[in-house]
Amino acid sequence: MLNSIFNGINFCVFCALLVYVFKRYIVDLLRREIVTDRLMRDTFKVRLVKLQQQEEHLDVASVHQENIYVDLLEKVSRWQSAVELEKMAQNKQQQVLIEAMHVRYEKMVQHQQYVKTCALVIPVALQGARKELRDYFQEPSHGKKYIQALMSAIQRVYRET
Amino acid sequence: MKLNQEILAKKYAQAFLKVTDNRFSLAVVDVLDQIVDFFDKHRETFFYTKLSCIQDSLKQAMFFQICERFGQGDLLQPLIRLLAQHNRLFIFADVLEQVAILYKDIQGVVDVRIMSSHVISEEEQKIIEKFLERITQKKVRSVVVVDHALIAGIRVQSDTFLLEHSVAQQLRNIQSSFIVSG
Repeated sequence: MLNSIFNGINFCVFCALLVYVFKRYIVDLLRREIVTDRLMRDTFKVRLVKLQQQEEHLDVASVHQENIYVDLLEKVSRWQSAVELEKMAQNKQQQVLIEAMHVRYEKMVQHQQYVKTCALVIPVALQGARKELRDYFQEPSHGKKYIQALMSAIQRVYRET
Repeated sequence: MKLNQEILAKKYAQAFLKVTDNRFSLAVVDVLDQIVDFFDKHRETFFYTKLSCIQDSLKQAMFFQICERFGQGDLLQPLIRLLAQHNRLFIFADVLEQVAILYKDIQGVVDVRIMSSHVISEEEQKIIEKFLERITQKKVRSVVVVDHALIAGIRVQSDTFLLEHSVAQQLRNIQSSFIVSG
């Protein structure tokens, strides 16, 4: 019985010692730990909010960049088609120019041939014609006939005026 | 230079005509044309007018004698004297030419040269003259010259106009048409 009383007292002393030790050393430590944890949690919360905001910004920026990218792609394709069109137009123009050059060259060649022919043929032909006409009109009756025709034409004009 | 000379000659001619108008006739003008032709053939005459070593009286006498040979010494003497005074005897022929032109213009006369490939009759000449009178509204005096270079046809030429209808002209036109189209 006595033994059990002492055991109870020992147990109580031990419990009191534990409480004392707990209160003296562990409570402060725990409190500091809790405060530190809370501070860390708050800090993390703030960081989390910041990160969420950053993420939102990044999302917006990403969408914006994506839009720019799409725009750029569209512009590039438009530019490429414009370049293609320009190239086609240039090619067409070049072809037209080449054709015109060919035509001009051919005309020039023809003209040169014409001039050469004229230079060779016309004087000879005209000289021949002049000689023939001179011979023909040397006959007084022919010349007289021509002059008479001229006179009647003059008289007709005279009468008309 | 030539233009100034012509203007000057025209002024002298106008003045000379005003002074001696009543002494002029178409016959006199024909003589003036002959004198002009003479000076055209003897251009060296004007060389002597520019030589200062020859006295003015001598120069005047030379011109007077030439005009006298053509029977117009008295008429032209005042003009010779005036031009000599102004040291402008070298434009004497130009003045006479202008006098003839002005007088014909005043009288409404135009001189034409009818060149024909063949001899034309007087009647034909009259036809041409009448035609020209109708066109120019002036009295026409014509001279007919045979020019075989025309081949066939006629060419009428005056100081102010030229009409031609001939085979030679047609050949020229054909030739020039080839040059133009070439």
